[in-house]
Amino acid sequence: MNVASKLALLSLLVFPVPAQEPAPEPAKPAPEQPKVLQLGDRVKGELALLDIDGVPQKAGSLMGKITVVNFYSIQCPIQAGWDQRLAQIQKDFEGDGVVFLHIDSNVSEIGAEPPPPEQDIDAYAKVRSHLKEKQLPFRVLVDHGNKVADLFDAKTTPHVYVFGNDGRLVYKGLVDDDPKDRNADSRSNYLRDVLGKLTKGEKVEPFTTKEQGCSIKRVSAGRKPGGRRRGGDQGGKDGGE
Amino acid sequence: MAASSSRARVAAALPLAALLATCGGGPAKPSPVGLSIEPRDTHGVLRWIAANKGTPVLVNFWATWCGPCVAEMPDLLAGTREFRGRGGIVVGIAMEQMGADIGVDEAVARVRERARRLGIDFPVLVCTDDDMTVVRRIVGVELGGLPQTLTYGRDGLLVAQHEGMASSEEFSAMARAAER
Repeated sequence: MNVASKLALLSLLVFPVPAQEPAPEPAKPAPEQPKVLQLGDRVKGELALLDIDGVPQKAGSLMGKITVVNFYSIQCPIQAGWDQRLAQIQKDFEGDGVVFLHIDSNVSEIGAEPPPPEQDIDAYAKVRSHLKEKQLPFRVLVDHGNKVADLFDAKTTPHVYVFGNDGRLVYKGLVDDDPKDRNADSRSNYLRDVLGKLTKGEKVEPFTTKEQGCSIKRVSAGRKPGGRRRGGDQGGKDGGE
Repeated sequence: MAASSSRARVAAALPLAALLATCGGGPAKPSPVGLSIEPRDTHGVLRWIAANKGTPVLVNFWATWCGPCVAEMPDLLAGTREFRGRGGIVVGIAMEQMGADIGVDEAVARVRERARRLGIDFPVLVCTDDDMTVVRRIVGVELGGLPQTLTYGRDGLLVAQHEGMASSEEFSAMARAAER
């Protein structure tokens, strides 16, 4: 055995070669977290929804410089307590160019999926008759599969979101802190105050208040494409940024 | 358990803690079992919970008009059966008055009829405060939507809060957390 061979043998003794290990598997990417709109975010994409006449609408295109999005229910008595004040706020600020959208995501009110187009079913007749009966001037879009509710992380009806001139979310929460309309002189008019500032060009520091109302009746996880109960199913390009 | 719930002790239950302090440490009342229905204002609800100091309590806010509340009731019953068997207390707080133009008697009648149909076998207090903002302030918890479940430990402190519907497993986990 020559010197080189001895050194090679010695190196094996001193530095044993580890057994051949399988190449490490490439790390699996962590499951993507559901994208949820945060304060300061813009809504990205078009948020394709149907209106209550069954006509496809692109909510993103409907959103004006200042936009209020409210998650709505025709059955929730807590929402009903705020209906007339929401209508009045809409009346007061529409002239300033503020856009108001109401989104019904409750599977119990609109069904899990739109009716097949070949069937002549007026799926949203109850919503339409409710608005007519209560004389509410609300533009209601239907959110089958609660995709938009998931994106917005909306929990209740009502649950109000306000987007500023730049399209960024500046407020999320209550209409005001007086659900029974008993303290008109002393209540905090969150939505009205935010819109007042925005329409005057004043800066609004993004903030939230704790929502209050009826839980949105979502489609169960098993019935939803992708099987996730919350988020992650925003339908392609729609989402927050 | 949903992201909105917490297993950590929540220090926000100060109104109840203060109430517990005034209730003294007398012998605990026997655990209320079986269906009973009575109207209480929010202070009365807190007194009811405080009277059961020393026993873990799971409080479920619901209403007969609330679809998700009614839908989760079988899971609430199943998920807390063992907990109640171990002496834990479940109490429902029916929020019938909110937005509905009905009196207390009518609210109690609605709750009784629905509770029987749902097979509820635990006490239900019909909350006569119809303004959730008032209930929030008095209970000392930022209650959001219905249904809503709170659990209190033996010391009367809030252990967990769950907003929205819960599964049987989630109810069971909340109940166990209250027993620790």
